[in-house]
Amino acid sequence: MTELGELESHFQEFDKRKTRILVISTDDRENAQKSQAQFPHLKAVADTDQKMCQTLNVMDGEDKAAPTTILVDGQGTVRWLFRPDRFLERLSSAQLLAAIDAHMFVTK
Amino acid sequence: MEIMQKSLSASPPIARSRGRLWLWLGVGLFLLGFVLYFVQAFQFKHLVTPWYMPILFTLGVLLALVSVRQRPTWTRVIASLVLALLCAGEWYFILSMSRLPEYKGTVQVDKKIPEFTTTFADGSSFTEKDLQKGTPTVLVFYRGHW
Repeated sequence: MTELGELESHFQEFDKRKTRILVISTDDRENAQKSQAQFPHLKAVADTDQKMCQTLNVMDGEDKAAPTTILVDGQGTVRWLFRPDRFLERLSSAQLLAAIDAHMFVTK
Repeated sequence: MEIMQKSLSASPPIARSRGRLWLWLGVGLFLLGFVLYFVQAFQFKHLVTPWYMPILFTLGVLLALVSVRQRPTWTRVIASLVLALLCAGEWYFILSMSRLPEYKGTVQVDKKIPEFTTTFADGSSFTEKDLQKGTPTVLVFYRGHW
């Protein structure tokens, strides 16, 4: 949950870029609602039945989502994907903001 | 037994404590590893692999072994074994257990995100079509509550 706190504390930077943050886990609805209440500037997704995580192949082999970050532009096109080598690692907010600046608003 | 007790009580304090400092320093390095990780993850919220932990633990085991070499007692041997097991576990965790497979899924850069259906925490529906309404979005998958 540390990473969600990191993202929440930088929400103004994401707002400046008119980018929303969706945080997705396989938690049940109750836990997802707790996350939503704790981090109000993020939008929590409760993928309890794992449909989204399985479709996008982000399961960690057990019943959890592997830490993965995907940037999607306003037309639904994937601009960037990051998967750390180890589940202990996460992108910092600074790294994520840099990735948004580098990949999200670039015309291809 | 009586002879052993006499010999223990007769041995000078310096001989009995010889090498004890190394053992405590070794234990201290383990504690330092845990404290550093706590500060890194929860104070600075800097989530990177803590390679310093198994390195500090290894040094801690070496110091414990020095202590055993200087005065081999059962207490020191058992303490060293416990530290060595913790150290081995930490190396195994960092090198093997925590590894994630490279992403080889259906999501591809510069392609539309695949169709999916799920729900927001409030129960409302969320599909790939919601990502095509003009707002750039970051999808952050995380492990959830442990």
